[in-house]
Amino acid sequence: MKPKYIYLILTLAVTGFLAFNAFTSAQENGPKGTGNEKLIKFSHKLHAEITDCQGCHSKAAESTEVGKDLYPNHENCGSCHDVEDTNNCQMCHFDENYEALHYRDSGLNFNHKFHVTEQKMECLGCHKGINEVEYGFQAKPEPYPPMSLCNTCHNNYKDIASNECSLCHKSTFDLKPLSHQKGDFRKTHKFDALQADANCNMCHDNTSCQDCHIGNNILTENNTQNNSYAPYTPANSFDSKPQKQQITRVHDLNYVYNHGIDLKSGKMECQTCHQVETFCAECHQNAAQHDFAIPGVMPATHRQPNFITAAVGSGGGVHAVDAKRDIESCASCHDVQGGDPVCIRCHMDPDGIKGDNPKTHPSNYMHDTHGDWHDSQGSLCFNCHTNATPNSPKGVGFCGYCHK
Amino acid sequence: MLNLNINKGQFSLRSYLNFESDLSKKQDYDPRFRVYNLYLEGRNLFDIATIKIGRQPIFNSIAGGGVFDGVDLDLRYSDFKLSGYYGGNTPAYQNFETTKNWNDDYILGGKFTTSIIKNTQIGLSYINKNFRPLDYYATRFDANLNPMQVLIEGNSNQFKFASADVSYRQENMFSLDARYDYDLNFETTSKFEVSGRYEQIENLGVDLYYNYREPRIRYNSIFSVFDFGNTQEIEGGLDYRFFNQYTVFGKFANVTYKDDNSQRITAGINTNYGSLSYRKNLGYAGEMDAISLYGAYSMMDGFFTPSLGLAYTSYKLSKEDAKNNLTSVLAGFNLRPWKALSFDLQGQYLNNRIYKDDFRLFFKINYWFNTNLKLI
Repeated sequence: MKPKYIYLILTLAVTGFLAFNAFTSAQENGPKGTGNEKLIKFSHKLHAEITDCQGCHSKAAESTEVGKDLYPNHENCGSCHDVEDTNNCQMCHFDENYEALHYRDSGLNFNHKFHVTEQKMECLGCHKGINEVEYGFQAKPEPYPPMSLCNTCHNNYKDIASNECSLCHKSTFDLKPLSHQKGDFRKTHKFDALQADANCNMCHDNTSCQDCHIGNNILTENNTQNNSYAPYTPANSFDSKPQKQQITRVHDLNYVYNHGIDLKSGKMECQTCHQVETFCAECHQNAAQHDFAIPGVMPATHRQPNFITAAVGSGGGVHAVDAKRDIESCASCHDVQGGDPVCIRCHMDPDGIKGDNPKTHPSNYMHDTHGDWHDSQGSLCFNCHTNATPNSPKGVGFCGYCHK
Repeated sequence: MLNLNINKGQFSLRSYLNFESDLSKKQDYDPRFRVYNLYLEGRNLFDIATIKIGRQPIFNSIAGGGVFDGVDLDLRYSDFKLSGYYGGNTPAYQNFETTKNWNDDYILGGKFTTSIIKNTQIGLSYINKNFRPLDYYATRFDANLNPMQVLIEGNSNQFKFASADVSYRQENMFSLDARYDYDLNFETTSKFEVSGRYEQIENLGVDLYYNYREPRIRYNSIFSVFDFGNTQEIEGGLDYRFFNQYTVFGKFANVTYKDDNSQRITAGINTNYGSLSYRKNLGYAGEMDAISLYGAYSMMDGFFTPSLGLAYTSYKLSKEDAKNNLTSVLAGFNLRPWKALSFDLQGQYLNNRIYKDDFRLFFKINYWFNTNLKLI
């Protein structure tokens, strides 16, 4: 595709995206309150002293949906007020405005009948504080029951009620909480999740966390040209329940090609989600050799003429400089499960003569301290110092470095 | 994929299984059965303990891979929590088998957490993870520089860390989180990070993040013997919410390496219906300009949800590398006639130097059960 078409498509998409959001936000961004406070003079507080909730919201106990029919109507008010007296309309109505009460779609499925009639729950158990205010929207902390209150029963843990998102929410796509929209949420959510009062499990369960934190399900191990991006469905932050609504991904579709930048820049620690001993190698290796050699995968730095200078005192060339800066990048390809690390081809000491091989260790490496020493043949030392074993005599070869 | 939970009171048997196979072409590992979770859970036993036994998740950045076979016990009392876990590492690709070498292939750890100080949480933890690599034959040289075949039977690679974390939070005002990791094998600071957020001004958030990090190399890995440096990263950012719908954000980060550095700039906007972001990278880590857009919108009470994703990236992985251009497009929709049943159709287009005008189509049927089967 020509660049001009790409830019054109992107420009149109961005413009459309912003316009769409502007439209939807204008729809939803009305004043606080429902507007009913400009239509009806009413006090929950006053009426709560006279009657119970169902005295006005008479249909609530039998209602199976949330809807405007739950508002009191003339008939309800008429049980106490003389609504037929046209001289007295302004007792409740502002001016001569007889507009119907506003109803804002909550986007929820809710069955009052089940909760009130069958489960014998009290109205004020959910609508806390509404009996202390004039209009419902003034109730503190929230006019409607907060989701955390629903979660006390709908938690999947107490064998009472499911907390499947779509049990209550008509659409599960746009449920992203404000906290998740912070610019740094991806980096800091681990701190949020560690808090004693964290309520992540209102929406997320272990499996939704695992969709990211077990990275093996993001791309198949056969991530070759024939099998580049599989339709696995890691839950995204919009909808992370088992009923995932869409084919989505944790990383961008193109991430397989530029993830190296995130790795080197520290933006992502791949190891948090991926078992690097196996995961990286599936692309960064030649299956037959257990080494990286696929053309196009090898970093361009490796093709420089001075990438490796092996002579003692040469400094090692570019690879030594890069390794000092970012050895994790080296390890992600060359420290493969069951593969011989490529660095051993040069960084070895077969003859036991100190100093005639490429410099490997920092100064005073393992000097009189801890370390993977040489107590078994599996010790790391013997991978490079091949002329020695745990049973070699003192003073000879590698052992002679220290044991005179 | 099957996610099946069987509950009885305080006990649950939880599973998360996956079966996959390429129907058109035989792949090396087909068919593959993965067991992500299969564990028994007892909750709030004696009003204090939660125990999990079996294959289960572990969320710990050091553990990697995220699953182990064993036992996890959490004790919670008042403002104190003590947790511990022990088990074997799972085989690659979550095969349905346990490790045969529990001495060299295990994970062990625990954490003590208290929130006894108001607005403050303190945690102390320990993790010891051994990972037994596969044996293999390799060519080595003898003292006369003659090649020979050697069976490499390396010792178990290991992570052994102690960590401390502290959080201080005042809602809608200020929060500070810090973590310190100490590498017990190398006897050195592995990582220190601190993240602060100031949000006392309505709708505005100010973030600051810093970390110092030693490369996380396993003890007994050949890479542990080299002379390598550490990195430091500092990142600052702002986010601002307006019209109750948009959150715009911008961040700038600088990463310092040994004798070099790299910068990262990110800006974007998040809404309930999607996000738009721009990224620019400079310096040692690579060069990149990337713009990505993702959005979806549910209509008809969730019956129909179309989605669209676009990304265009121009990047160089290193100074020496050639510049690459990459375009990807996702477009699809979800149909949900009933809560429990949904159908997805998605087209994916990719265009770069490896995949020229590559287009793929995916289809998914998803059904979730929400019935207590009362099997136990």
